Amino acid sequence: MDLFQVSIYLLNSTAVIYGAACLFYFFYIWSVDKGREKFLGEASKWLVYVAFTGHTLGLAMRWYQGGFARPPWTNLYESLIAFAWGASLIQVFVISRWKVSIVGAFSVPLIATLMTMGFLTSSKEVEPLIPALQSGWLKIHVSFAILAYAAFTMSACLSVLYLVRRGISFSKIAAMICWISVFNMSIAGGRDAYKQGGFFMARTVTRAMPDGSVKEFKDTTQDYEGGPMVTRMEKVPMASVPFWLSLFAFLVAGFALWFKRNRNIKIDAKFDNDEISEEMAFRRGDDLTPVGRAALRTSVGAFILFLATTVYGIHISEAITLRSNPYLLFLMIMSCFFVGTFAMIHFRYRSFLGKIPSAARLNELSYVGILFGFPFQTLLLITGAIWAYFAWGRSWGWDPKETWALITWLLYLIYLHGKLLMRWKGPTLSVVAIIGFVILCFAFLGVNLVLSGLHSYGAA
Amino acid sequence: MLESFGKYIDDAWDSLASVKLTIVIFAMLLLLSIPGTVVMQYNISTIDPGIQYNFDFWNFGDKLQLFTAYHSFWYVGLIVLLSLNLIACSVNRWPQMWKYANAKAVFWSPEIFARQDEKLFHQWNSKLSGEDFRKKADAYFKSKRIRSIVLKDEPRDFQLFWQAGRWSRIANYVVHTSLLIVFSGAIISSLWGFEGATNIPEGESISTFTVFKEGKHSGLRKVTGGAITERQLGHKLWARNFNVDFYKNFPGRPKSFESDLEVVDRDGKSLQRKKIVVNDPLNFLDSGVYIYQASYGRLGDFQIDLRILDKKNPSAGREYFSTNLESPFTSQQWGVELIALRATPDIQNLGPGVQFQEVKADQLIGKPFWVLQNYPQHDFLDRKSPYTIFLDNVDEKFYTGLQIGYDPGAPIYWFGAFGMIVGTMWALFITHRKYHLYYERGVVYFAGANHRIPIGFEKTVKNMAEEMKAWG
Repeated sequence: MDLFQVSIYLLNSTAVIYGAACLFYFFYIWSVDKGREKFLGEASKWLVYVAFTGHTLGLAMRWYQGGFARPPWTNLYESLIAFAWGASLIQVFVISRWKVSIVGAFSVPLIATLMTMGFLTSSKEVEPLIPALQSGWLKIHVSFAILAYAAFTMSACLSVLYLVRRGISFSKIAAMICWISVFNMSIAGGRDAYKQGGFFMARTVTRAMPDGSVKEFKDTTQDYEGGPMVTRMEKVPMASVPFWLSLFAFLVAGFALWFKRNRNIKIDAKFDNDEISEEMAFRRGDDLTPVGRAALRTSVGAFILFLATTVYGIHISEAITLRSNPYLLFLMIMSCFFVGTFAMIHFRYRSFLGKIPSAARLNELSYVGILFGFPFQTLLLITGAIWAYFAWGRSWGWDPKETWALITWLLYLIYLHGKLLMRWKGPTLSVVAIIGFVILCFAFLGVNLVLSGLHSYGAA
Repeated sequence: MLESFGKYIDDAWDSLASVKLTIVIFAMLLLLSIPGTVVMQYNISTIDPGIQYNFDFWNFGDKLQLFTAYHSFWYVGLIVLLSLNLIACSVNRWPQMWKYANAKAVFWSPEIFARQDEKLFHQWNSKLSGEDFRKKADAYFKSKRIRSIVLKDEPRDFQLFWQAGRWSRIANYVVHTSLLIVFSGAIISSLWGFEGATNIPEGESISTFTVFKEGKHSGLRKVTGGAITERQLGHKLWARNFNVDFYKNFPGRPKSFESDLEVVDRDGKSLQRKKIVVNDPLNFLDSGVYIYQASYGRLGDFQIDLRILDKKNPSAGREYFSTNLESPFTSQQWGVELIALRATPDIQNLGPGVQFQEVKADQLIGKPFWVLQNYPQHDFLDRKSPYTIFLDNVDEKFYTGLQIGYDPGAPIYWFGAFGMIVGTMWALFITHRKYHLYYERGVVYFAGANHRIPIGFEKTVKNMAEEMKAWG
C-alpha cells in the first residue's frame, strides 16, 4: 500500500468516525439518564478529537505527496476535505477551549456530510497543478477561505443553539426551513428545470481526448480535460412533476407556517433579554394552528417526495449518479441529518436545555465566531483580487465565485453593523448568522456545482 | 416657507445619515448581486446573451440592463447611494466620536461605581494604608506600562484613571475612507483603463487587439475598417515562439505554457522582448499596460520536418522536407507526391505520429499509413515501398491567448484595500477601554468601561482586580 492509498483509507475512515460521532450526539441528546448522558457526552467529544487527528494526518499526507507547492485543496475532493478540516479545527477549539461540546450536534453532521461527499467523489487523484494555480497565492487565499468559512459555520451552529435556547417559535423554525429548502431546491434543480425543461437531467459528455480516443463521461466532475466535446442531456421521465410539486409545497407551507401561527402565544416576545428561565422552553408546537399543523405535514410530505424522486431518478437512469448533481447530494445528506437532530431536540427539549450553555454565552460566542471570520473573509476577497490581477490582468471581474464571496461578505457586514450600531438583539442576529451560513454553502459549493466560472474545482 | 424647506433638508440629511439606510443598502446590494451571477453577462469570450436567451427575455433583460448587471444604473446607483450614506454618517458622527475620544476623565463617586455593569465592577477592602497602596499601584502600573492620571489626590482618598485604545474610535473612519479610496481607484480604472485580449498564432505578429472593457479616456485608437471592438496596439507584437508542456500521466493537463514575445516597431527594430508565463506578465514598453499569458489553443496544424530515405541504402540519397498538414510535397527521387493527412503529438503513448497518403494528379494511391517519430522501423518494415519516411520533428502549432490590460487605478485601490484590512482589524479587535481605581479609606473600587461589545474585557478587568486584591 502506498502513501496515496493510506491517506485515502485514513480519510475514509475519518468520515466513518465523524458519522459515528453523529450517532453518539443523537444518543447524547436522547439520553435523560445522568450517568449515560455523561458517558455519551465524553465519548462523542473524544470521537471528534480522534476523527480530527485522522483528518489532519490524512490531509498532511496528501500535502506531502503533492509537494509543498501543491496544497491539498486544488480539486473538488480536496476542497471538500480541506474545508471540512477547517470546520473541524474550529469545532475542536470550541469544544475544548470554550467547553461547548454540544455544538458538535450541528457541526459534526455538517462535516460528516462534506466527508461523505468527498468519499463519493470519483476522482481522488493527486493531480498536478495547472499553470493558473501555480502561485503562492493559492496557499494564502484558500487558507483564508477555510478559516473564514469555518468560523462562520461554527457561528451559525452556535446561533441555532441560541435560538433553541431562547425557545424560538416552532412555527417560525419550520417556516424558515421550508424557505431555505425552496431557495436551495430552486438553485440546485431550478436552472435545469428552466433551461432544459426537466429537473433531473442525465448528462453524458462525449469527448475527443488528445490521444485520439473518444471517452464518455457520466460524471460532471471529470470532463474538464480533452478536446472537443458533445454534451447529451436526457430527461428522466416523470421526475419534473414531483420536483415542482415539492417546491411549491415547501413554498406554501412556509407561508402558512409563518402567517398562520397562533399569535396569542408570543413565545419570543415574552423575554427581551438573554437571561431566561427554564420555563421559557419552546412549547412543542404550541403556536401551531390547525393550518400550520397541516402545512408542517405537507412540508414533511414534500421532503419525502423529493427524497423519493432523487432515489427514483438515480434508479431509473444509468447516466444519473448523485454525483451528477453534487450540490443536491450535499443538501440531501445535510437535510437528513438536520431533520434528525431537530426531531431529537423536539422530543427531548427539556433535558436538552440542561446540556447547552446560557443564551447570553451562546450569543457572545456566536459573535466572536463572526468577529474571527470577518477579517479573513475580507482578506479572502483582497488576496483573491491580488492573485487575479497577476494571473488574469484584472483584479475584479464579477466572476460568480467572486460575486458570491462578496455577497457573503455583505451579509456579515449587515450582521456587524446591526450588532454594533443598531444594537440588534440575539434572535435577529442569529437569524442573520444562519442566513449567512446558507449563502456560504452556496458560495462554497453551489457556485461551482451549479453556476459556471473560473474557480472550476467542480463541474466544468 | 424657508423654514419648512430647511426642515425638509434636515430630514433628508438625517435619513441619509442613518445606519438603517446603510443596512437597507447592504441588503439591496446583496440581493441585486445575485442576478448577475445567474444571467449570462456580456463578455467577449462568451456567446452573446441575445443568442442564449429567447427574444422576450432578452428584450426584458436588455431594458433592465440585466446583461451588464454590475454596470447597470441600479447597481451603480446603489453604490453611489452607499458612498453618500457613508459620507453623511461619517460627517454626522465625527463630533461625537471626537468628543468621546478626547473626553477628559472625571471623578467617579462610589455611587457611580455602583451603577456600572456588575461584571465590570469590583469592590473590596484593603488592609494597606493609602501610601502603601499607592506605591504598590505605581509599581504595578510601571510593570504593565500603564500611564495613569490622578483624579483625586489625598493620602487616604485618591482616584486613579487610565485608558487604552483611545484611537480605535477612529478605526471605522479608516475603514470607511479606505472603502471610498477603493471606489475612487475603481472609477479611475474604469475611465482611463481598458481590458482586452488577443490570440497570436505562434511565429506570427499582430498590431491590433480586441477590447472588451474600455474607459472613456483610455486613448485607444480604433482600426479603420476593422471590427468595432478592434483597437491599435501601437507597435507590432510578435509571438516568436510558444511552448506548452503537459504532465506525463495526465493527458491534456498543461504543466506550463510560455510565450516568447517581442515588441517590434515599424522598421522591424526590436524594442522589448520577454518570455511570459501565467502569473508573470510583460509590462508593455514599461507603460503600465500589461500583457498576460491567459490561455492557448490548437491551430489544428502541425509543423512537420522529415526525410525520405532509400530503404536499401538509408545513408545515401536523402531528401529533406518541411511541410504542414494537407499541403502536398513531391519527392523528385521517387517520383511520388505525398500529403500529411493527420498528425498527433502522442499516438497511444508511442509518441508523435503523422499519417501520410500517396497521391498522383489528385488521385489517391493506396491506403494512408502512419509514421511514428520514435519508431521509424514501423514504416520501414510495414510498408512495401522502396523508400521510407523518417520524421525529424513533429511540432503541433498553437496560438497563444493573451490578455491586455491597463489599470491605472490599481495602486489607489490596493492602498485602499490595505487600509480596509488594517482598519477592520483595528476596529473589531481594539476597543477604547477605560479604568477607574478608587481607594477610599481602605475600600477599593475598581471598574472598567468599554465603548463597544467587550469580548474578553470582563475577564481582563477581573484578572486585574484579582492581582490588586492580592496586595492585601
